[in-house]
Amino acid sequence: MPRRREAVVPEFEPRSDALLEVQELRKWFPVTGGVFGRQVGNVKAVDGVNFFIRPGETLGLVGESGCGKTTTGRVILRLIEPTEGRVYFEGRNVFDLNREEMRRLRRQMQIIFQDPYSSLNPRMTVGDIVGEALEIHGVARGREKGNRVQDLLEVVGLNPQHARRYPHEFSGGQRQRIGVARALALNPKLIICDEPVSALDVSIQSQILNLLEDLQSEFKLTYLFIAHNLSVVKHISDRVGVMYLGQVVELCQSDELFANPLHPYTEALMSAIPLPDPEYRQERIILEGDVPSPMHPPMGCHFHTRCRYVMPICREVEPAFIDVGEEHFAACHLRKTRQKQ
Amino acid sequence: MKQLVELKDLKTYFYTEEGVVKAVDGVSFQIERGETLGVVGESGCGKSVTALSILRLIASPPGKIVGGNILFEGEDLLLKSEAQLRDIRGNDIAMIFQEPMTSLNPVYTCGEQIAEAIELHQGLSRRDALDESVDMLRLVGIPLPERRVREYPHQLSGGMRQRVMIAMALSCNPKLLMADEPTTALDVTIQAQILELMKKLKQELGMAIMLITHDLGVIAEMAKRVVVMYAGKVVEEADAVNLFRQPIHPYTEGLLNSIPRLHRPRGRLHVITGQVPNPVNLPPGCSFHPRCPLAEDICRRQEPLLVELGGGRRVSCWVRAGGSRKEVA
Ligand SMILES: Nc1ncnc2c1ncn2[C@@H]1O[C@H](COP(=O)(O)OP(=O)(O)OP(=O)(O)O)[C@@H](O)[C@H]1O
Ligand SMILES: Nc1ncnc2c1ncn2[C@@H]1O[C@H](COP(=O)(O)OP(=O)(O)O)[C@@H](O)[C@H]1O
Ligand code: SF4
Ligand code: SF4
Ligand SMILES: [Mg+2]
Ligand SMILES: [Mg+2]
Repeated sequence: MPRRREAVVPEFEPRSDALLEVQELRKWFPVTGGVFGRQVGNVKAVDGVNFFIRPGETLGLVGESGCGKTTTGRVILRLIEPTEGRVYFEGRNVFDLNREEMRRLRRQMQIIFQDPYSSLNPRMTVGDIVGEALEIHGVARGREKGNRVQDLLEVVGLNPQHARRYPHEFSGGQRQRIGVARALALNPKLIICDEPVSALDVSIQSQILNLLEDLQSEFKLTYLFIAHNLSVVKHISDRVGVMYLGQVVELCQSDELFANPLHPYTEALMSAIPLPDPEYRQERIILEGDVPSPMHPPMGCHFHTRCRYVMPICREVEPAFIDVGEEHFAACHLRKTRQKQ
Repeated sequence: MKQLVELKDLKTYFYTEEGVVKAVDGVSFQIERGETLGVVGESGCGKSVTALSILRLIASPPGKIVGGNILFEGEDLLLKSEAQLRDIRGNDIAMIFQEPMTSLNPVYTCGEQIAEAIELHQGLSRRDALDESVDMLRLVGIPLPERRVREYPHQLSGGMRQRVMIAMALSCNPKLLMADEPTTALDVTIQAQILELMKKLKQELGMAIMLITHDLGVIAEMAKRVVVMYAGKVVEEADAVNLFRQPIHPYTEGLLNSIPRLHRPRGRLHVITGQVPNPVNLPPGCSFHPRCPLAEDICRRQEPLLVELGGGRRVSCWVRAGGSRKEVA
């Protein structure tokens, strides 16, 4: 059955005010099976994602496990190739770049990973980890590299004398600082932070969040901040996009999202968060069942199997991702009746 | 007897190559019948070891319960034989863990695993136990329980596996359910389902729950009373409402201030400086002193006692709870 969409988003010129713009991005992973190892389907990890980030801004991407956050980040950096779609960095489609152009662009886009334990090579010293990119990109070597590494360690709040130590000699929070220093080495414009504080204890989490904020204002950085913790995302982001089953279903200013959620999934997600206040009782929307498999996302609106407002049209026609006013985007057939009061 | 569990000065140490890890070092608290007690603290502070000690499941070597008492309905579990313990573990105290996959057996169906627990503890025949396991799955809100009993753990999602674990734990109708980070590995919408389920079952079955988590939100939502642990010790205990309204111990206060709040304006986060100390090399005096903004001379030299402040509040802090007062047992 052909897929029905409310409106097809035409290929349009990249916005001139965006550092990064993602249009209709898709990444399907083939699934093979049977005795002949033939392709039996696709995991639609990213299935039509749209957003943009302005210079100096933090855009948060939030969603439950498996909704496609990490894959989105990795495709933007071309660590994996897309199935479809466009990613513009400063107006140029990164998928059109050749190897050499891509290599140069890599200096502008860096990533910080979730797991501070497995993301650092245990056999390299901290100095080599942080300085590796300087050498690869021919920015600095020898003594100059050493000095730059010491500066970077200092900037992220580590002792510059520790450049000779190995990752296992550091705590989780310190290792995350090493990851931040590595990402900063080439003076990038954009840093994709993939769950940078999820593996950390509460008291260490706040240290890293503050560090990221300080570095942003000091070095005019732009962040794509990926996380599943809404409170953390709200805290750090100027704007927030909510993902569900491979799509961004709502995107707007951080405060607006929490004051006036338009998408039923956003509403349920927010109500599910246990608040650290025993005297505050909120109405809780319990979503029934689990997230459907990304191999077989539901027809029409991906959320219709769990939505308490589901209407007949939702089962058939996929709602378009539309600006309902003041850059508040939502993909839901209800939005017309749920617009701001 | 009102108290179901009474821990008195429990000490559980691990003898490792790097030195002695005082994972639990003089922990005392009580759990009343039918209440939910929250135990909160950062990773490594001794929450899981406390729970495993109550079940006497500490691997030895390297671990050993080196002191204290664990009274369950007035009887000391440390004096029980292995056979008596097995009986208690199955019938009176049950436990669920963070990662349900590691505690379910992959080669048996969910029904078989629940039925086995039921057979063992309720003395039913295999057939009746299997029927009962369908009812248990229904009780924990698994759709199509008749079909799910025949499925294997890997065929279920994380949330469903945790439901199966809860079904197994509850099949013996325990007086105490210990839940160690039961929702930490789950998404928030699934966590909400599981927390709702635990509340409902507690109301229906009336067991006490010892809920271990590092998530202050989960604690606020579930617990009536809270114990805050740091480096193997209880540093504060209070009624949940009071604890969140007015934390007294500097560590509790710092923790509460350092979490981003959904319903508060954004601003710079408070930070607890430094890091959790190395367990084989704890600082002298108050273990929190290298990170504490209020630390005084005495804090570096002498350990503060846990002092009763009235209203069920206990705090161990020289500055905030006048450590000179006598400890109240
Ligand atoms: N290399 C791969 N091959 C096949 N499927 C994949 C691959 N990488 C990711 N997926 C699938 O794509 C979907 C999205 O994965 P992704 O890692 O982007 O999710 P996520 O939102 O980052 O989740 P989490 O919060 O758990 O990190 C998942 O269903 C995942 O299993
Ligand atoms: N089997 C073990 N061997 C050695 N040390 C252990 C063992 N189990 C736990 N510990 C140590 O005991 C301390 C408390 O651990 P635990 O109770 O698991 O913490 P948590 O509060 O995160 O549950 C930690 O320092 C941990 O490393
Ligand atoms: S489009 Fe329909 S099913 Fe989807 S979120 Fe909106 S109301 Fe719910
Ligand atoms: S005893 Fe001293 S160091 Fe410890 S928490 Fe109190 S003030 Fe801080
Ligand atoms: Mg991810
Ligand atoms: Mg634990």
